[in-house]
Amino acid sequence: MSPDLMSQPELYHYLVLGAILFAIGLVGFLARRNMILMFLSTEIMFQGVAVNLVAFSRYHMNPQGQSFVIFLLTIAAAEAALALGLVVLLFRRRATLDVDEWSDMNG
Amino acid sequence: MEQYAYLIPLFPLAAAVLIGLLGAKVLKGFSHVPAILAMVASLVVALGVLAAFSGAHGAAAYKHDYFNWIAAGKFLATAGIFVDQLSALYVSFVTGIGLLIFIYASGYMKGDYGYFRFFAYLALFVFFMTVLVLGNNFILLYLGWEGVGLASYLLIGYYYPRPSAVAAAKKAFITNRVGDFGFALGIFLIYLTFGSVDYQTVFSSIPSHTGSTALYWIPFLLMVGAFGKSAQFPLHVWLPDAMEGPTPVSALIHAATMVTAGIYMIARCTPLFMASPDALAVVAIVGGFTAFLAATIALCQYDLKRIWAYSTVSQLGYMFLGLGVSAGSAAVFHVFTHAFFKALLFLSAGSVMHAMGGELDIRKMSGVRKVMPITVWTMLFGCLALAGVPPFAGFFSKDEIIAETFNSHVSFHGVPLNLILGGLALLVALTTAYYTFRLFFRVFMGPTELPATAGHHEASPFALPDDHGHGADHGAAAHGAADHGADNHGHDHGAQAPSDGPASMWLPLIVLSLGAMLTGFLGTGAHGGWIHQLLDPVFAPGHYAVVNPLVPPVEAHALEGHESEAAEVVSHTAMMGISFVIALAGIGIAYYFHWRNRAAATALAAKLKPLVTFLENKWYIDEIYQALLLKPLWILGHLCNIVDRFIVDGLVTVVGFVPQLMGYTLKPTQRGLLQRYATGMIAGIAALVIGVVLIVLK
Repeated sequence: MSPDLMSQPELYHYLVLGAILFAIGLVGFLARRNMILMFLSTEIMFQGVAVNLVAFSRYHMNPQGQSFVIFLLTIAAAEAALALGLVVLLFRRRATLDVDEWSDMNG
Repeated sequence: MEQYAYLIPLFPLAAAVLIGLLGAKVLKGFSHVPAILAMVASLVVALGVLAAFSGAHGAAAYKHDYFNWIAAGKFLATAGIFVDQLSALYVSFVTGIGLLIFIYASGYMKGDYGYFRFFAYLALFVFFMTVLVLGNNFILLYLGWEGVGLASYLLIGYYYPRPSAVAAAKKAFITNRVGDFGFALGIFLIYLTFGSVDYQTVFSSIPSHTGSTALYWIPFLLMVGAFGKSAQFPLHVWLPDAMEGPTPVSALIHAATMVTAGIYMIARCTPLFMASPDALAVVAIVGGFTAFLAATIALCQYDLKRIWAYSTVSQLGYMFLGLGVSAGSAAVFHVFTHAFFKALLFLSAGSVMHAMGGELDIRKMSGVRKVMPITVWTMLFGCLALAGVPPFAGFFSKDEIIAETFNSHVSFHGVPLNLILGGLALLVALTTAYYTFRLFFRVFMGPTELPATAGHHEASPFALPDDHGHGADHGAAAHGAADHGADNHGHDHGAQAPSDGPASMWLPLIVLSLGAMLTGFLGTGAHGGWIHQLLDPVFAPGHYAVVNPLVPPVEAHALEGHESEAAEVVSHTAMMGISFVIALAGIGIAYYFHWRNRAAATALAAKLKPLVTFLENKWYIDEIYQALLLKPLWILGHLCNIVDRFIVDGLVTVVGFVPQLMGYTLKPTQRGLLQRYATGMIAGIAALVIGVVLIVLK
């Protein structure tokens, strides 16, 4: 790696970070069977997208993108509470967190 | 007065609509009130109309069109009335006897589930019957004709939880369809030939079509309709089964009025029939044969109402015989007297049935006179009238038909038939007297012996759980409803001493007895008595001539036919003597076998076993129809069913199988696993993105 590449982070560094976060979340979502972990994975994908947004906002010197991310985080927090509540309810029904237990739509 | 004749059908129609709409919730046990009031109103108008015609001898018919009912191109059927002596007499006895039967039914049907329904149907029947006789064209006649058929169907099937009632209703309706088909063809041919369906237009233009083939065949087609409605061989099979309906229905519709619609139609179409002598001969032959057939069947029946039903068929045969030998007024006279005494006989039979708890088998009862002191007399008067004993009504009218038959010139293709038919009519008279008094002596005379059910109210089929296992829910639902009905009326249907029943039942019997005793005298006296003076103009030529109000009516047709017969084979007086002796002989035989010495009857029946079996099975006519018509139709139906089920349905199933097959192949992809769906989604998006990228890069 060249030294100037190390000295100053460019736009593509952030985009790669966002893509890595998104990929980790995606793999986690597809691979884990635990509902809480799956939910966690979706949050990670979410953050990957948020990083992208902030990076582009800085790159274009447009503050709208960053302020948008603030809203996004707030909503993500609310949504996390809701989703965890649902997970608790689902857990009470089947006494397990395994998502494969909920396959009633089996054709 | 005749200008108000249009009111006669309207009162019963209003009553039918009112009872139909309000009966179930509001009127309930009082449903008979509007019906009876409507009948009284109609009767008053009808009698007024009749009085207007009987006053002025040979009065011209009253015709009035109210509005155009069906107008299509050149075709026009108006809604209008045609009132003459014939229709005036018909509406009078339809409403008069109808009123008595309505009153009787209010007692007979009391507490029955569906009481209001019964009266709504009855009122509907009277509406259609009066339309039938008052209409001024063939289309209105047909409307009334089909309407009474409908009312008859509804009332025969009144006890619809009983499978036999449903079967009888269908049988009546379908048999009548056969006749109506001929009738409809006849009307089509009339319209094609004459270009009109109006009575006056059609009948007055007959001379200009003399000798045409259409004119020859029209009466034959009309006759088929009359044979269906009036239960003549070979379409008579429905009438005895129609006794499944409640007894007042049997009395009103299937004895006194509706079945005489065929007589009315032929009497009304006299000019058409006169133009085709062969048709008249066929009417006479069929009438004579049916009279004989039904009378012999009645000899060996054991069901009270069935005996009267066959008797009705037989008496209708007499009426057709009368029409066939061009003695129209004698035939209508017999319709008139028969309406009284047959209604009386049926209602008396109904009273017996009511007292015996629904039992109708004459072998199971004897000496009923002890418990039914009024009914025994009314039944006796009815029986005397039917058997033809003077001075009862049936004697005069039947006697006249027989005498007219002997004196007529009826012939079929040159073969004179008057002696054969007259002899047959006398034989039927003997048979009639015998079977009538067989029933009377069996049921009312001899040692008193009542069936076990006597004194109980007839078990309503609505309360019976179904024996055959079909529709158990039906029975259960109806059971609840029947209980409800009983609560409503606070009527105790438990065991009581068998009796004549309430006054509403025996009072009409007494009035009808008077009719059965006295109406015969209307046909005796100068110029054939009141009834012939009234009716002869109807059968005279020129009755349907379009009257020009500026020219005074010619009296040419005033008195025709009755005494002017030049060559009489038998004089009326001699005929009276002969038929009186024959009636007494029949009664005497019945007296010996069915009162004095019943064992002898049993012994004789054992000796004549094959004949008795033949008659008990009604000449096997039902069985013949079963084998020749119903069985082939049944087989054809099953063949069609097989074709439909395996070929037509098979194709449909194959077509329907295609999407099902596709579904089966795609089904395994839907496993209900969340992550598989997510994988699929991502794979799809990835494929799209790669595709787009590849296209863009190109």
